[in-house]
Amino acid sequence: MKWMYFPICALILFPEALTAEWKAKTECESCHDAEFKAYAGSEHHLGQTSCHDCHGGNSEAAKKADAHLEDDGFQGSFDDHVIHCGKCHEGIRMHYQRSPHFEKFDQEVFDLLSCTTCHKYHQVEKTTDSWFKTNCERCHRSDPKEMLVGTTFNQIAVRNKMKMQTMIDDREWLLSRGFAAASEGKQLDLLKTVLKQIGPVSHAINKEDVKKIDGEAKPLVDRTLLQIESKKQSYSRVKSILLPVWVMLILFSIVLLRASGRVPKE
Amino acid sequence: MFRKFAAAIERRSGLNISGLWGAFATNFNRKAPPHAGWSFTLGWAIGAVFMALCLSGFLLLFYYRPTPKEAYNSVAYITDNVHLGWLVLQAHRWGSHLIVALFLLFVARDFWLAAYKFPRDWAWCFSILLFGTVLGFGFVGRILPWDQHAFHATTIATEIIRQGGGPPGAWLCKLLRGGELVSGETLTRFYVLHILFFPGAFIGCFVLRWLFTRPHGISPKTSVDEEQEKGYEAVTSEGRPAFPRLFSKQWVAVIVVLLILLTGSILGPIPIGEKADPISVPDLLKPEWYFLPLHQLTKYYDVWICVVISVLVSALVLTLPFIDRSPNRQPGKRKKWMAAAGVFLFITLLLGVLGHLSGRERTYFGTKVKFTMTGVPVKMTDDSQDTRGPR
Repeated sequence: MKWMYFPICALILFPEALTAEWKAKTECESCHDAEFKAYAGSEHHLGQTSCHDCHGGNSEAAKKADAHLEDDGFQGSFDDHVIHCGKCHEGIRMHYQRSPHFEKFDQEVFDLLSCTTCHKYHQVEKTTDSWFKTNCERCHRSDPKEMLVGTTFNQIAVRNKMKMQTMIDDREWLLSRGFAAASEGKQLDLLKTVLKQIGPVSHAINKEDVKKIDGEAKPLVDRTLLQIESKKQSYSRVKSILLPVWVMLILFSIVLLRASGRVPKE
Repeated sequence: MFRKFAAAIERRSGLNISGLWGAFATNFNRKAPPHAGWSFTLGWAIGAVFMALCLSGFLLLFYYRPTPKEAYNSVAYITDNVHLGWLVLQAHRWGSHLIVALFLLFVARDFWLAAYKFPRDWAWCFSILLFGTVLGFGFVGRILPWDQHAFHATTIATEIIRQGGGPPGAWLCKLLRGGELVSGETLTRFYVLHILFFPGAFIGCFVLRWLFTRPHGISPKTSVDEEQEKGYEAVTSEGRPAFPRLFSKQWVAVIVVLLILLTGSILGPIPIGEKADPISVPDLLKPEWYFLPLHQLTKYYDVWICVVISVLVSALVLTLPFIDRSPNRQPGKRKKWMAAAGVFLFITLLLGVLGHLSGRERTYFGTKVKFTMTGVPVKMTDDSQDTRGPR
């Protein structure tokens, strides 16, 4: 059991080795439990953006007053999230300020359509396709009857991306069925370049861009899907006649063999 | 009706049409030996597949363009845009495999029954030549889609001829490629061979084979001497006329083979690869299954040895009737030849299986195994995984 002495001695000599990391993270948590829970696992947490990075102050201070000193640059809440988030997300802020969302941004009604409206305060989530779908559809419904606001660039992008995935899957299927599916491949490459232009999808919401990209991508996607569908139909139609043909010809063969077998030997 | 028409032709051309009809009629009315059952439908099956290949090939010709720039795109156009083009193309591809398989059975049957002995010895030679043209069809036809596999497989195949054939091989390789490398020239040459030379050779060999078998009928099981002494009628007296029993079996075989062709084309299509790119070579390059044993052999021995072996084997098969001169036809009385054929079959199958497995990854009882290029299985650990993997 000699090996156990080493960690025990180490702990006696340097007790902070065990506690230092924990302390730094949990001084804020000791009071702001709910906020910390929201923050844990968020994109900011994973990217090692700490409480201090946004709020300033001293996150290692043991006393409440010491932690919230304005001299340390402490700021509890923000009047203008666009400017505050823009300190790190400079490019996105510029995109945002050109968008219709920014036009609706209202200082009087606190943060009506600012960064936190979609990205929230602490539980900043990764912006996946499904994220766009749920968040954008809070206002921009996919069903035209329920539409609160017009179609967004995001929705178009997500819709096109999802269609693209269907196209990729369908193309694989076609290739395995002996089609060269060359035109679909060309369309896919074209579509990929079109979708590459989208850039930071959530912020460059520019009506002109929306029209341009939707004008390029939509007909391409629709046409290709139509082509794929017609090929699938042609295949399944031929496949459906296979069994009747088998049955018919095998029956004919049996009749032929029986009839010829009846012919006497001489 | 038919007779009137035939007589009208005869009067004007002087040709003996009813004589030709008589030749067919003799075949049908003559007694077939009692053992002539399902195995004697193979010829008809081959004929049916050949007709299907001709028809599908004829239809493909309307759209196919034999230039390196357009070949792949025209094939893509056939599968993607032409009505039922994919089915026609698949039928052509499946037929090319099926006809080789049927021919192998056909030759095996003739060998088993010693149908290659006098007086059907020349007919055997024409059968083998016919088989050669079928392999030739496959060899030159594979490059036509101009996809990655076709291009590089043809490069390797012609390279084998060049490296193993000495000066005549180098000359033949250059002649086939139309230059030092596989290029558009090769495509044009192979295309012409595929649609003009080999069909002509096939039909020529077929007609000659028919002419040389027709007077003798189906090979009986008796020895050559007995057939010569007693005559064909006497040795086949226990049999029945080919019409209608064997005749209807042959038609059933035609139906079944065409059904297999159709089913295969629909349910198990052979995918078309990416467009040929001379610079990037695919990871795992394999010839068609019927060339696999020869390809595998080149991995163990120098190429020239393999070429010599394959030439010798082909020559032996072609001249078999003149080497094996014993009059016996019963398999039990030809033990040496049967043993030799068994050994040959075993080696060929082994090489084929090794060739198929080489370079691939397989899982047996939960253990991942990778076969080396020579076909030796090596147990795989997780960190030794080749990320490239087989094609």
